[in-house]
Amino acid sequence: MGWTALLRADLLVLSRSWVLKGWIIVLILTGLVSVGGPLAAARSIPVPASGILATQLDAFLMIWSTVIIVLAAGSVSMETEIIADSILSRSCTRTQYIGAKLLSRMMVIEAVYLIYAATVAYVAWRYAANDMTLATITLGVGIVGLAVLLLSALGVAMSTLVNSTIFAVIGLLLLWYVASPIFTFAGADYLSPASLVRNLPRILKDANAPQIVEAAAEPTSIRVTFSKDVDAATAEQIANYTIEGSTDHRYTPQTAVYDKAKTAVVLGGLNLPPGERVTVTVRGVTDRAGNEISPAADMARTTVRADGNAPPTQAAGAPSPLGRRTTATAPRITQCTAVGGSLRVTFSAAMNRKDVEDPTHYIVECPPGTVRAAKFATWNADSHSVLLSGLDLPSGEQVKVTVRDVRDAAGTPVPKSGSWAVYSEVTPWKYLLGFGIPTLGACALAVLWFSRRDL
Amino acid sequence: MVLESAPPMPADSVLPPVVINTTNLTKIFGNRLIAVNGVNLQVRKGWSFGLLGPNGAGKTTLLKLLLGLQLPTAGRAELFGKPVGPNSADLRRRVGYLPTNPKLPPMMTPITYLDLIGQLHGMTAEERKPRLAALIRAVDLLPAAARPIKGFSTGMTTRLGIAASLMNDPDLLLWDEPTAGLDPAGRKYTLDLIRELARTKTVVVSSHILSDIDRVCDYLGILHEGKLIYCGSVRHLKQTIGRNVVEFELDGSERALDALSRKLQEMPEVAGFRREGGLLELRFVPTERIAAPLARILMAAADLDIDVTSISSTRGQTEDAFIRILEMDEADGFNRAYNTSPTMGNGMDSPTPS
Repeated sequence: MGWTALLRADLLVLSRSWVLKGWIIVLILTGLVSVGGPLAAARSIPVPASGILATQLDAFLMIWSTVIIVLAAGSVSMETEIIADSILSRSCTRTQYIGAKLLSRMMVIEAVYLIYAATVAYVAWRYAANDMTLATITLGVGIVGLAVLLLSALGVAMSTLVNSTIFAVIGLLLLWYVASPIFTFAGADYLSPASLVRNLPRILKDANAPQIVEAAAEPTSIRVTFSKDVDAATAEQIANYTIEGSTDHRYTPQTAVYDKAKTAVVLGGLNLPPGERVTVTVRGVTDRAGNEISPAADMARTTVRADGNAPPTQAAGAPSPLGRRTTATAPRITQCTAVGGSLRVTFSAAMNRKDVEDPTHYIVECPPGTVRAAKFATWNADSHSVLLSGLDLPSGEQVKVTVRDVRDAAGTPVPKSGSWAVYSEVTPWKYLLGFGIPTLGACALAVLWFSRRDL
Repeated sequence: MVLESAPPMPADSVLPPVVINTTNLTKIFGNRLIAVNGVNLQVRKGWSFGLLGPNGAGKTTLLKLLLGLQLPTAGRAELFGKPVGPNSADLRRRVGYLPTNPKLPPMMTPITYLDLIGQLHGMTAEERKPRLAALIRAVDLLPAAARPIKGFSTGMTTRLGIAASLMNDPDLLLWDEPTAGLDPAGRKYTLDLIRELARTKTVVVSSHILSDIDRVCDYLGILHEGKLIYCGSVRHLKQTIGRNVVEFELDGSERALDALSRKLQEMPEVAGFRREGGLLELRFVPTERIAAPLARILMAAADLDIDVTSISSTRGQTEDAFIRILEMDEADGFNRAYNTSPTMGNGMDSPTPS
């Protein structure tokens, strides 16, 4: 009962705080300008939604963090005498008091952030060129929300450590803004707000490449269903589709019409003999975020049905509607991981050792567009992987590796266009831990320190 | 420092229970300031106890140590037989604390503040609403009951602090300089209230104003530079530790006054005297009974045809005793290092207060 009374009392104090009221007003006004401007421009030039949202979330980490620090760092130090005289001399424990203080500050600051972030995310999703998914929005907003929580908890902890509010604010500002390069230097980039700002666009942007999940052929058309919504402009490009019959005969569609609701494209104007087994290969189709169709699942085979009801298809390497994956005929890269200055490339099958140990068969781009040559390639038969070493990979950059002209142990080559994979150091769960664990630590520090200090 | 041996103490079984007990309680701030120095103090149930000392003597620190607001550097403090710490919420439920010039939440009103205090003490709405209404009326804050505290005068804030300290109907009151900053009317009101509350509760009042302690307390502890240098009843302090000085204004011839001076030199009860014209300051040897020697002096004056224009005595004045205690403590010099307990001032010579 005492704990909730303290919580309510601090919420009442916050509700009357001019710092909080002023912040909300300024936040709304700047939000209208900084979100409205790009949206107005988006009528003529497509503006990615992830960019708009990332900019607004960055502001919480780099600009509004000052207000958050003031709100949190003044929580105890501003009223040390008051809490001794009027609260803690009564029937109330230190833990109850600081627990209520932590919760109220974190709740209010987080509520302001979440309401603002959710509003911006909806507006960007609705009116800008959407390149995000609900999952990426949740992840991005969640990680920044965790950073905001960390800042709030650090603020309260700092205000228990330092009697002067000014020193508490200055100390935390230094910690927040100056620590980033130190964390980066120490290899703990996931504790750094600046690193989060740098990587936020990539976290928000949908990085999953679309895949073919189904193809169904009739004598005059083929319906190709994608795993997700794709860009209609690329999906309706006839040149992006290759249809081959069983005798290597090529069929050319006359039309390509994309159905957004079914995430499927219907290739029309065909003349396919019933019973013919055809292979549809898709190239150049991208999703809204610009991810090109995955080479691992850009091909599907199906048989032309005479009655118009196409039989189930096999999408090479793609998940079937029942969640099973069919075996890809061509080997491909399944994973790519940077290990120090080296790159580990994992294949879907046992490979021909001579082929894969030739470093010239690999194109390593870091960042994408800048080619770096590997000096050595070492095959590991147990893990079906090759370690590319002798690379000079800059830290924090995205790495793309493409392999060509290699065969698996059975002699099946990778697709002519090659097989590629991307490794990005942006691993959101590291940020979740990087900001989550220190938040718990800051709360524990506030409770422990406050329980042992004189008032 | 022991001025005189303490009388035998009654057996513990007949004494009221100990409410406050400190053992070697010491507080040193950051290796810079010794605020409380090895204080051993016992306050029993029903006492009205004054904590007296000059500014900076450590009174407030001692009270904060008793509340668990500050942590002792050494020693321990107990309330109601249990050790006190920062999380001793249950013990503080039985205590009403009034700080010096209390700092209260400026944005709250008396109603919301007292309601919060009631909730912290675990009172239900049914209990705390009538209680806070009665207290606000009792401290004469009804017209300001819904106004933010930030606009209150010192007197109003102190009265609200008094109401807050009584919200939980505590067994023990710890009031720190309750009359500080109050006008004469407010001071009288507060002292009368303490006397009234002392009938049913154990009251500890700290002050540097001797007359306040004199008016409301039966027992007294004197703190000097963090050390408890006296602890006992107020009556004992007045009677035995004062200077026993009596001042006379005499009207007589110079020859008669000289004759009286010679007689005084012969009296064993007179420790010393000083005369300037008709003004005579007479110091008796420490004793509790001066009526007989005083009568003989007056008889001698009458025989010498000397009239007494006025007579006044500082004997029995707390102020005089207090100053003497401080002087004696300082005169003790290095011996103070070996004095681990305060002067025992016949602590049990008064009947237990009702």
